[in-house]
Amino acid sequence: MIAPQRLTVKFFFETLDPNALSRFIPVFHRWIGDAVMPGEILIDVADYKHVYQGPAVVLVGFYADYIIDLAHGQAGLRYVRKRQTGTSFADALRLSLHQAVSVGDLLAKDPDLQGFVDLRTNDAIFTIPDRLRYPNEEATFAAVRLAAFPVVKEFFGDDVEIDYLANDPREPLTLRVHGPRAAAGLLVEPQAITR
Amino acid sequence: MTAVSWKEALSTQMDSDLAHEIDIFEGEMELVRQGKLDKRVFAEKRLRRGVYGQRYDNGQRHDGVQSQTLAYPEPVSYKGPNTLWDAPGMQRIKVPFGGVTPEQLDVIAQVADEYSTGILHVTTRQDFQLHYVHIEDTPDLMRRLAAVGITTREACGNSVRNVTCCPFAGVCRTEAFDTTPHAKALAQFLLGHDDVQDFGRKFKIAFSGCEDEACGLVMMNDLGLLAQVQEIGGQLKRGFRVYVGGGLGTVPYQAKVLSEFTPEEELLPLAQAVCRVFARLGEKRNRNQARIKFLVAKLGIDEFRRLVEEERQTMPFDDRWTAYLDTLPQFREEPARPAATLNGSEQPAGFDAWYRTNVYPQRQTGYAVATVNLPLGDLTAQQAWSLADIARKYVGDHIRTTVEQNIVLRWISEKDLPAVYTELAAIGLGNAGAGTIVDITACPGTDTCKLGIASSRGLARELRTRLAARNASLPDAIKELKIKISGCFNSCGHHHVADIGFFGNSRRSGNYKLPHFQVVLGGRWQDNAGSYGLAVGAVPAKSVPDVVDVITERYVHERQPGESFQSWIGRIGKKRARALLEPFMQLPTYEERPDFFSDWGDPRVFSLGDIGVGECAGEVVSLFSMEIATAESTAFDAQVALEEGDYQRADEMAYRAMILAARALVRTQYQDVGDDPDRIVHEFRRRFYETRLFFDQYVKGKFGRYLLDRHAHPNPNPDADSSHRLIEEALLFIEATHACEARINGNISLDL
Repeated sequence: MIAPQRLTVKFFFETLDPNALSRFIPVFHRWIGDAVMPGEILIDVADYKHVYQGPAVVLVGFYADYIIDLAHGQAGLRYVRKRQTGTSFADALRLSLHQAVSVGDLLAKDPDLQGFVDLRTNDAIFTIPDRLRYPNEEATFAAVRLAAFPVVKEFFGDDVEIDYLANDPREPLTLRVHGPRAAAGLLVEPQAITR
Repeated sequence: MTAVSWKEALSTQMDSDLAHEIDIFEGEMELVRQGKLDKRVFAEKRLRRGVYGQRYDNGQRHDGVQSQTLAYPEPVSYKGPNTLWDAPGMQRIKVPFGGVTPEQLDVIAQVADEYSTGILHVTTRQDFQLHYVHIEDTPDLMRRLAAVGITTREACGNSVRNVTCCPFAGVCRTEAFDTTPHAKALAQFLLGHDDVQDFGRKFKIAFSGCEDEACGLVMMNDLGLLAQVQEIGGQLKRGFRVYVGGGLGTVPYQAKVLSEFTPEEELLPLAQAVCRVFARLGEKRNRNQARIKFLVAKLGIDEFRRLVEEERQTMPFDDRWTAYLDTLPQFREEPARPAATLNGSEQPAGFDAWYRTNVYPQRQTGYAVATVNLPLGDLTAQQAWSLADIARKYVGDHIRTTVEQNIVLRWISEKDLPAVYTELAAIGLGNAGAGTIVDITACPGTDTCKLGIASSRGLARELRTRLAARNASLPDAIKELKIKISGCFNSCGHHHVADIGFFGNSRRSGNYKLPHFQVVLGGRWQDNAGSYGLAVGAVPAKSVPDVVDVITERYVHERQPGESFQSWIGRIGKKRARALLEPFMQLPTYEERPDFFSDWGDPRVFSLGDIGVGECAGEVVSLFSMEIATAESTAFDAQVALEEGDYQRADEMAYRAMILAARALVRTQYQDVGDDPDRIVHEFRRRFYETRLFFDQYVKGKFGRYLLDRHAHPNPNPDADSSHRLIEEALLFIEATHACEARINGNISLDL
């Protein structure tokens, strides 16, 4: 199965005070200056806090965007892989999951966000914004599910479940993945944050 | 799951002309990547497809201390001067008169979701914009839009920009008549028209139905059309008062009356004549003087009018000038639901406040327009899909964007208003306050614009939050004011026509710079942007909320009964107005107020280091360069067709490339040659071949004969060899055309 043009992974915050969204902005600016993400080119921070249930704060990169996301009223960290997704769907998924978990860990360990970020990584929403190759249909889901299982097991454990979210057909194909294990457990040590 | 391309998947849904234009653009992308197309020419090409640069696209970003390099994968590949190929940019989507259907809104939201950040931004010219778009994605993005009848053509660059129109046209209680079909007809007529391809700068057109309202803001446009009805020969006749040479920008100009009354059948030819005069006489080299307002000011309106009238008499007849008039009697918007009054309908909490500010009763009894108040002009893809569904349910296709960065739903049966409000509120779009002080207009500013000096959106967000929090307690006189903010002096946020306007600049304190905003007071939104405000002084960005409080409170305290803000400012004068700001004009040191040295929403120490070269004006590239590039792209398409084994298409494209090249050359002498290949070849032969202007000193007229031969003897059954040969000949012909133009160097008198 070929790699989609985009793939997103969203982990949810246990709690997040919407009034404190501004705290992410200086952190993301600092991340750009310090180039904290190996292999990524961080470009800009977009502030959409004024938009209802939107991508409130976006750290825009060349290969991926990193979003403090309020979509559907559920605050979370959304990783959007948008360039060089790999040669196969499994590649894209593995890469995106790994990067999403890594960024979550960076956030949790950031000195300016200590005790503020509490990400739940045993439960994630995946979307595939590639309506040409991955139309939002159950048949697509069935194929994606097969291809995704080996990868998500690596992160969430053998008893992982993948559900199809039958959302609006205009939205991208959306999956919910949840397992017994927190995906963060597999993380390699992230690069140290410098001030 | 079949992996086909969007080009293939949508081939039957796209208008063939739109599809072909996008293919050409994709070919030009490939040519510039191969170094076969000049990056300056490509920059103007992509701008005319709405593909715009964005901040940091020169690969540099200031982190508050120093400028850092953004290490893009291809650091030496460019899509324009100082514009790196890899850097994400902005895609502008042109929406004539702001009219958009639910189906179109669905697709705009889908491409925002797939190629951008999932945010749709409504601009001050009724366009949509998507940010952080990678250029490789733009052809497919355009195809998906084309499949629902949207083109991005001439959304940017030195071209006719989106034709704007009052969002209430057709349902307004005070308009002379509905200008929608005229706006639509003029937009279609000028789109891609030969006479609008050689401007020195952009050209903006607006339609209004009312003289006294803000309506279409005709006074601040390059060409403004104000609907008029006159009695002529005992019959009522529709037409327009025509204004020309208005514009904001650094120095705002009020438009001048070009014609007191132009009957509707003369609208298109008059606009065309204006465009031809602008193309011929407008400044091309100094882009700071290249808008039509400078030409009108230089010539004087009387001489400009004489030239336009003279031009009008010489123009070749075009049956499109009046063809659309036959459709006018049939032009009408059908409501989705029957009219019914609001009386007795159950009204949800918050409805009354929303109704007071966001609902406009139409002149058609039982119907109303509701304004969807978008914060900073933004909405998410999810909101857009839901809004499209609300429109389908209650109003059908009757959605329009506004120059105040909102969206209106027209033809709502009044009885449905509570339900519409409830459904809008459920998706976060039920904000009251449309058109009031909380409904702040702001250009992109330093968020994404290469020219931005200060954060217009950051300031707008802060002001909106503060004012909304105490909106209920604000006196009506304050609520009715308008705030508009630009990130620099270029006025994209329309600060000149706000009661309280701001534009970004900076001041120095010690070794640091502070973001500032110049305060512009007393602009007039009504009367079609009837007068411009008075710049009274610059204050630190972080002081602006306090400045707004001081100004508005003083206005409420001092105003005489019924006195408008403009009248009050006029009465107190610039000196006293400035005195209101003076307490805020003292600059703190960095040590005293470090927060003053960063902008709203941006924690970096403020700097001007990220300002780049703007693309508002586009590249000033000759008409020949633009048109020959299209020929080159078509020759490239021929090569692709040959590789794919489609010899018929390869042959046709190679021939087409030669025709386009010949046309580009002919148009340096004879602007009105048109599109007919027979005529193009005839003029080429007469002007360049028989005169030997085309001849090379070594091969003489050999390359010119390639075109003449192929035109005279089409190949009914091209094969691999013949189509390959014709492509080679086309490439040589194009090269010879370049050489010929270079020899003549453009110093040919125009034969109009």
